Amino acid sequence: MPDFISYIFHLIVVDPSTNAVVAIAHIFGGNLGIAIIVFTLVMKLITWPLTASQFKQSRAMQAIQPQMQELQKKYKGKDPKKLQSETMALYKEHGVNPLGCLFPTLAQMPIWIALYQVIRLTAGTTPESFVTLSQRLYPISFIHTAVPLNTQFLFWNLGVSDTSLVLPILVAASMYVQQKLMTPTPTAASTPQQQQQQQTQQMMTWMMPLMFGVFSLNVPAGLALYWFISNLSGFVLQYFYMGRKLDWRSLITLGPPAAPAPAARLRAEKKVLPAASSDDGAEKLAPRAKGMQSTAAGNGAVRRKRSSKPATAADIDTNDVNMNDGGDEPVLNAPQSERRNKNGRRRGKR
Amino acid sequence: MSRRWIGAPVLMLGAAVLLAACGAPPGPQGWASPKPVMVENQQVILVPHKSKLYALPSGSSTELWEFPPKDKNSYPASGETRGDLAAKVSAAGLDATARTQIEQKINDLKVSGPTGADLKTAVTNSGASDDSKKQINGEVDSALSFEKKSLDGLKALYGDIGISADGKTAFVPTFKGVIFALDTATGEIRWVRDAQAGMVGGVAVDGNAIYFGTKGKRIAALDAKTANQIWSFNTNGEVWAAPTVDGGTVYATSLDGSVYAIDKSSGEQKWRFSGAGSGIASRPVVSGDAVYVGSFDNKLYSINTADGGMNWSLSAGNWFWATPVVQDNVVYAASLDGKVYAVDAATGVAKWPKPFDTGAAIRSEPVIAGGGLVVAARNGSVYKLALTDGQPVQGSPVSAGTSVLANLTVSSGAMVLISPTSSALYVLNASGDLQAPASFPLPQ
Repeated sequence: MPDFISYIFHLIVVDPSTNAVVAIAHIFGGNLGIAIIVFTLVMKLITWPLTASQFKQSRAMQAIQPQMQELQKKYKGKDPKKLQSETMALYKEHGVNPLGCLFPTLAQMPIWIALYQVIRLTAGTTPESFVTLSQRLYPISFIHTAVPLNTQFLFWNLGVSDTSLVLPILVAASMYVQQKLMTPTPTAASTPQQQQQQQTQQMMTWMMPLMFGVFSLNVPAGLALYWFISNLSGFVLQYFYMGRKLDWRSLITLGPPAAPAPAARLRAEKKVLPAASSDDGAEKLAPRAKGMQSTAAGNGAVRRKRSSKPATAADIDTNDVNMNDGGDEPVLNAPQSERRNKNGRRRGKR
Repeated sequence: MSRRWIGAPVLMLGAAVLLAACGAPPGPQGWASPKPVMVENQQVILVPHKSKLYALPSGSSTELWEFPPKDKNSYPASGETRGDLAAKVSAAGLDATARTQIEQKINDLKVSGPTGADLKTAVTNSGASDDSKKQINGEVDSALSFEKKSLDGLKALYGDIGISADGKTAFVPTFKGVIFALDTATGEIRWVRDAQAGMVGGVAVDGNAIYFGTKGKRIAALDAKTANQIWSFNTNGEVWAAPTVDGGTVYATSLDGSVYAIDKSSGEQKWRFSGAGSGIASRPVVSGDAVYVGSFDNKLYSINTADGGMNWSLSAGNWFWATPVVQDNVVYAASLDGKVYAVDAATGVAKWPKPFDTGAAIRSEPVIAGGGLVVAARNGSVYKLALTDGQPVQGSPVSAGTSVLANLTVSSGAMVLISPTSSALYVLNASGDLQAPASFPLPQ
């Protein structure tokens, strides 16, 4: 069975990709580095619908965080079944698939694995890989004669690991930036479970880049170049998709915020809920929220991250508005149809 | 089915694909071929396997020695290091007793372990000048450190071993980029040199010099006894095959798609053939006034040795990597398309009614033995083909168990040595019809 899967996987993914990389390299003067960059960008464009769906799910998940918190507050420890059913209903209502971020990642996984093999094959890291490559190239004259490719790109030999540390650092840094921008800004955790969840999430934003940085030290530089270009292009696509909604400040966030004081939470909720109940109200409140948020960015947000003390009511006044949506805009700026459903549901359930 | 339940099969499929895909590709394995050598009137087969070299008396699985040794603490430092140290001690002006004592320690010097420190202590306590002490102890440290480092992690052996004319020294190129000169009787190091880049091709021996190419786009000539460099020649691409020495010329191929003809004494280029459409990784074969090479552009070339002009070329369905064989004005060449071609050496016209198709890629260099052409395909099938029409003889093919990528070697008459990827040496009697080859498992 694994042999059959491997055969099919090579037939429909690895072999076409290998030939594509060799063909691209041939077009660009036989350089493997340029071929990797072009191929990575092309694959990013092809998988764009999956990536966009991932971004969309990520945004939708961020948008319903306040409601999620409310449900947690209301049912946590009292009625777990109700909490689960209400959460699922909330997901359904807002078109959020809890595995929405996972599916696109899984779907892209074969492509990543294929690229790993393609680069190892085309970079000729071992003489055996050349023999294998000879059997995988299509019988097209210009592809067959394009090998061996020139593995020298800038000052890297793409067939061996980069001992100068430049690529591993670039891989780790670009992945860190992408992870931080993809991960929702931590909300004020109200329960120990939430705090733990957020800590795990924060840890992952460090662990993954670190892990890939270390991997990059031990794999052919071509693969590290692929990871770097992939992260960079992912980041650019994310920028174009999310635009000014990207939370740049999250790049310097070192950990989840402390739980807000009950009084502060109450005040923050008072600010959010009435405005969210009306579309017009939301439009009117948006500028006000932005004004507050700029104060938060300058003072409250940073100050609170550095402080080990619980947040004060004044902090929450300004911070919760921008933190709840994880971006430059408050949650109230979610699409109007979503807000209507959201608030309608709340009223209905209460 | 609820959307939630779609996740499980997708996850399982993803995991299956991950497992299937991550099973490949392994690191360098090596494909250096076995080499027969006479050691004190006894035939010994040097069998490379991955990063090890075993010396097996012919017809036996009991090793004479293995390299690198399992225990470096009991492995002598190279003859060159010990000779250099002895010369320095001799020049240090010590009294006879101290000199004898230190020379004894030099003789006992091992690559690792306490012998290095013992020697340094003896030197420090001797009556030599401070400068001499510093010089000798510095040499002990640097030489042992280099030799230990050279022995660690050899990666793999691809290039064919060169044997000196007297059969006493084996020159072993490594994928790590270090060349060892070993005593064929004991496996001890005579000298070790950093080739400055990995080596896929083998070492050619001619008189008192050895010639080799590296992945560092270089061909070099060294003195076989002292390892001093005679000359070094830069190419435009990596060199993946051993050079061939014929008369006063060294012929070498390169992945830049060229064949270089270099003056054997001066290292100056005589001519360069750069008509191949892709890299060349096959060893050049010289016969008469032509040199024959196979290329990654799916072609076999005949090149004029006088000026590097092309005589003819032959096209196949895949790369030519295996070195061609020339006998009686016929060139036999095996391709990665799985076919064996026989063409007239002068004209390039086919000699067989059709090429023989083994059905699997051929990387291994064929040999002529027992009046036939013996060819091993990558799938482990070994054929003996009639030289006249390319038809397999009775009993073909026989199996070498696992994949064969290493060149075949002929030993004593019609015995063909096959080194498959498994940990065994196969010996095939090719004198008549083929029988299953004898298998000699390598020591663990």
